[in-house]
Amino acid sequence: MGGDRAGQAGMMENFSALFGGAEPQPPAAAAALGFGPGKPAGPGSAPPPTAAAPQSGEDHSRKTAASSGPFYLMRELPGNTELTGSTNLITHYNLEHAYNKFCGKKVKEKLSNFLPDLPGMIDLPGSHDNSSLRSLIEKPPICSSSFTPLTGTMLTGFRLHAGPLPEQCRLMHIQPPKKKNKHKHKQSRTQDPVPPETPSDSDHKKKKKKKEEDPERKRKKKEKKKKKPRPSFVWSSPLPIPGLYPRMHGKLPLLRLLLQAIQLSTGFKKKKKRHLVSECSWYHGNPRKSPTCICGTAFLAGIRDLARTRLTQAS
Amino acid sequence: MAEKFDSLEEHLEKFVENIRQLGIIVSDFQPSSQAGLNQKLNFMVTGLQDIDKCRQQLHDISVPLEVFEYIDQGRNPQLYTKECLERALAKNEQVKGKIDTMKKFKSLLIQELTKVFPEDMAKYKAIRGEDPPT
Repeated sequence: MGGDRAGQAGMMENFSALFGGAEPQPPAAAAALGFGPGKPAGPGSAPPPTAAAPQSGEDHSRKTAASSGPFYLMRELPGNTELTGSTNLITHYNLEHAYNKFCGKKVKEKLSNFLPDLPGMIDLPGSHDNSSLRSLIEKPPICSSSFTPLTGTMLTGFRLHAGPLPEQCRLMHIQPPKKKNKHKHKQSRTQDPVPPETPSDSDHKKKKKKKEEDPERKRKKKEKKKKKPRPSFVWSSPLPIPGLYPRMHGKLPLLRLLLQAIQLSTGFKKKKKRHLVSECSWYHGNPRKSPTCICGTAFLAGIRDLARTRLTQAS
Repeated sequence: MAEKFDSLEEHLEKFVENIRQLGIIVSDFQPSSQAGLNQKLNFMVTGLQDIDKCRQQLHDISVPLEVFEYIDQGRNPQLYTKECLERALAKNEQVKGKIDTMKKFKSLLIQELTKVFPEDMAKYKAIRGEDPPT
C-alpha cells in the first residue's frame, strides 16, 4: 500500500509538473503565430518573478490566467468595440440603399430585363448553344495573348455566298418578347415564332390555370348568349336617309312617351345598355354633349318584336 | 472607380453594336457588301483590343463565380445580389439571436452559481470587475 501511495504522489508531482512552473516553453515560432497551449496555467502555477524578455501575447494570457485565481480557462472578454453579429451589419456597412433597391421591389427574373439592349435570345441557357461563361473559364480558347488586325490575305477567308441565311441560323434577329399589360392578347397573336423559353414553375402553373379556365369560360359565354334574346335591328337602318331623321328628332320626346306607355302596359323592360352616338342611325345633333345614344334603338326593336308577336297572336 | 467601369461598358456596347451590324450584313449577304464586312471584322479586332486594354485597370476587381451561373442560366444577375443580401441579413439575425441567448444564459448561470458558490463567485466577480449580468 505504501508503495502505491508513493507511486500516486509521484504521479501527482508529474501532473503538477505538467501544468506548473516546470512547463516547457512553447517554441518561439508557434508563440509568434499565436498558437500555444489551449489551457492556461493551473492554480499552483505562478509566473516567473522577473520577466526579462519582452511580453508576448502568450505571457500576457498566462499572467491573466495567474491572476484568475482558482478559475480555469479564464480568458479576456471580447471588447465592445469588436464587430459581431449582434449589430446590424447591413446598416454598419451602409448597404441599406442596396438592400432596399434589390429586396424592396421585385427584381425581374430574366437576363433580358437586365440587358434590354442586347440583341439575340439571351434568356436561353448557355448550355443550349454552348455559349456559357462557365465553359469559357473552364476551357479557355487556345489563342495568342494579343489581338492583331486581319491582313488582306486573311480577309479573303471571309468571302461569303450571296443570299439570305437559313431560318435556323437567324438567332441574332430574334428578340425576347416584351410583355405589355394592355395588349396581351394582341401581342401573343402577332408575335413571330420564338424558340421556347425556359419557363419558371410559376409561369407554367399560370399557363395551366389559363388552359383549365378557358373552356369553362367559353361554355358560360355560350350559355349567356343563348339566354339573351337578340333584338333585330332591321327597323333601324344603318344607312342614314337624309331628310327623314331630322324630322324624327323633333318628335323623339313624343315617341318616348308613347313607348313608355307601351312599356307599362306590356311589361317590357328597357335594355340598360346604350350604344354610342357614332354607332346610331338616328340624328342626334351635337354628339359632344352626350357620347351615349338616347334614342333607345334596341328598345324600339324589342317593342317591335313584341308587337309583332301580339299581332300574330291576335290574327 | 466608376470611370473604369464606364469605359469598359462603352467599349462593350460598341463591340456588341458592331457585332449586331456584322450579323445583319451576314444574314443577307450581297457581294457588294464584302468591303463593309471586312471593315466590320477589323472593327471587331480593334474592339477586342480596346476591351483587353481595360483589363489592366480592373485587375483588382473580383467577381463571384456564382454570378456566371446566373448569367449562363439566363437569369438576372441582380437576383444574386438580392439573394446575397437576404442571406446576409438572415445569418446576421441568426447570430444575433445566438448572442442574445448566450448572454441570457450567462446571466442566469452567474445568478444560479452565486446561490450555490457565493464565495467563489465573489472572487470571480472581483477578477472580472465590472461584468454585470445582462
